[in-house]
Amino acid sequence: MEPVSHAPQGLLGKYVFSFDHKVIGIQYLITAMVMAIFASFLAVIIRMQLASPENKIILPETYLSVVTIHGTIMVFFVISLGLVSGLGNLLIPLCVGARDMAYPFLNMLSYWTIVPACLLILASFLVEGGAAAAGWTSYPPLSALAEAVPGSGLGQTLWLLAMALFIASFTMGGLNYLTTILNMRARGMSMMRMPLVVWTFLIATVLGLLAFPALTAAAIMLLFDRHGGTSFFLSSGMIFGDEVLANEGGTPLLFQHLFWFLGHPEVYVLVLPAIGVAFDIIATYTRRPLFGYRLSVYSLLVIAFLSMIVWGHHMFVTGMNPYVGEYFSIATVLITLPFTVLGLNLIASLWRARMRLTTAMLFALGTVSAVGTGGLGGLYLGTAAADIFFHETYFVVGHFHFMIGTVTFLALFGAIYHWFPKMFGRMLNEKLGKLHFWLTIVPMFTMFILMHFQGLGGSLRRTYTQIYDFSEGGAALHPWISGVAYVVVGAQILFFVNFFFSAFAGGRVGDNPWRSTTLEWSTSSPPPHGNWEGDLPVVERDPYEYGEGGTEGDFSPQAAAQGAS
Amino acid sequence: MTTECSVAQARTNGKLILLAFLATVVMLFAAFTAAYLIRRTAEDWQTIPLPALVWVNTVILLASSASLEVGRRNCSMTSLKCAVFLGVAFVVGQVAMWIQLSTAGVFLSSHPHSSFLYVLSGVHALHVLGGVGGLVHGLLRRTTLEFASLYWHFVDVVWLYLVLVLVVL
Repeated sequence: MEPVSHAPQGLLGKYVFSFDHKVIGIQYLITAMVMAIFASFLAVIIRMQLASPENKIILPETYLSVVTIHGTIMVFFVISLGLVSGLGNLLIPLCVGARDMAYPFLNMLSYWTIVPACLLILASFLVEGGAAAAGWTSYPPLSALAEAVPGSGLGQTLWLLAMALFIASFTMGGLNYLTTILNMRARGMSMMRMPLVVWTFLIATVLGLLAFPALTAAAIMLLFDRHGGTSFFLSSGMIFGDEVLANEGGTPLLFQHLFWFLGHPEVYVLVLPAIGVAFDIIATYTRRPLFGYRLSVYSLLVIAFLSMIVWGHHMFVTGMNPYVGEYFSIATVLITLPFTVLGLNLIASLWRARMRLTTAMLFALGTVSAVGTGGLGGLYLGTAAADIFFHETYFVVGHFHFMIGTVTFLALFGAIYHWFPKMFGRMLNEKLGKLHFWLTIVPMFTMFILMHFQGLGGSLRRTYTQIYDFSEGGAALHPWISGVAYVVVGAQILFFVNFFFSAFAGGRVGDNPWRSTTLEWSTSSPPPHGNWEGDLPVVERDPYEYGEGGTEGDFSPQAAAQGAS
Repeated sequence: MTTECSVAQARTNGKLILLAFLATVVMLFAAFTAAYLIRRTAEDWQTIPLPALVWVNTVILLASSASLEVGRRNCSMTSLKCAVFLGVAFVVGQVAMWIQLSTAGVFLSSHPHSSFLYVLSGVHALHVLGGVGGLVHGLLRRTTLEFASLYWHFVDVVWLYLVLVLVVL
């Protein structure tokens, strides 16, 4: 029950089975980086196959496995681990002024639950039949019948087990986040004084806690369909080989509803913290308070609520009552309203600001730009009539790689460049960082915008080669996209080198190198066990008090006493 | 370094994390029962009559909750132990119900109704077992008894809901 125990002794307690949220955060980040190497490797295989389909680099069924595991790892084991679990752990206690998470042991357990999940998903390539091949969405019957495709055998079972562990880990982490943010804030840190990034972690956590159980239920039923002979998701009259399967009366649509009841909020679990990161970084480097803080918080809450009731827009082509489709379309397009408010607040925060274009700021601006650019495609996909054409094409691939690929990765990088000094007390190399930025954002935008055009031309997704003549035009773009993809994957080597070199040999910095207001910068870099030597800070001010006449020149830290300037 | 986390804060933390966890369990059973309620509207639906044991088990679980409350009000260790015993008896009763069903030829895969019945009562039984663990912990260390009791009454209510949905409707 004690949030802070005595400082751990010994290597195991300090770096492996640590209870300290900062160590756990870095553990998550590095795990996400390792998983990102695997997922990028899979992406390169996909791009090689698409660029030269006649070469047959991999078998068609292997292509499906590669796509499935690339998606699963990127969504759950890279973005979610890095952005939500990694940054969340690192920042939440520091930003709200707590010694540690409310339940440090649970936090440690949460990390050590995700490690076997990562190993399971990677190991699934080694089992008979190979890894799961039903897509990261795992729709039945592909995922429910072991005979369906080679990957539907043991690989699919391992996929389900890995997801079960992931959900358990996320739930433990989420319960900790919620309790810490709601009940462990320093004196004076009212909800409306929290940095926006903490707000987005809170909202993402609540979304995750409410949405993931639906996938748990679906996964349990799917396991019984696979191994218990039930027919939750398997319909009557399915034929395999020469025999009619015994299953009766189930419906694969049911799985899709349960999956997307999680799947859509999951998008916001990833995107909202990315936006929160952008907000915090932008305030620091524009040296001005954010425009419309309260309005942004309310908009985030509205977005979160709407995200729970629009899952059907992922299922327009799989069939539903037209009136239900109409509802899902309208509700989906409604999300543009609060998102526009957020976007306008961001732009107003930048309006006529004298920006300091550090690497972190560049990535934050890139995040905002990607939200706007990628979001445009959502207007088409959220409308049932247009989605019916676009759904099976690269338009969708381009769109979701913008939203949960580009937006989140840019924010994650920006966050690492911004908070790296707090993690290690050293600075990342800025020149290398800026090169990394341009070599990341330009290729990413190029690839995913081109994919939108491929989709407009009817190029089908999830096929290892273009099978219809009408999509030849789109197929001609594939080698170009692949070339750009190799560039962006290669550019990440810069980041890895920068990260590990700087962690040990980067230039040392003071406690507050960016001259930032929020609480995490009021302690030493890196912070000691327990986060603050002596007493916890007392919060006196709003999160973004930048501008001339502050207590520290052009800013006032949140913990600076009122009237001290 | 001294810890500023007072007993009161720890108690609020406990309440918060428990309530948030209960919310996830609510969503889990909401998802299950939503699937069930949709499935039973199909034309091929047949309702399977359940053995009378289901009512005996329900009474046992309710009695356990009541015994727990009596024990907490009167600080009676006997009543508290009785609550744990009744909780275990409920799970044993559920297993007996599954055995009765399967000897009658109603298996997991026999029929949609039986599939839901086994899976939902199974998942619920696991939650009850977790609650038994919590209660035992609460008996040994009185500080967590309050939370264990809240959870215990919660799984009780979930069971009443499941009976309503699976058997009565």
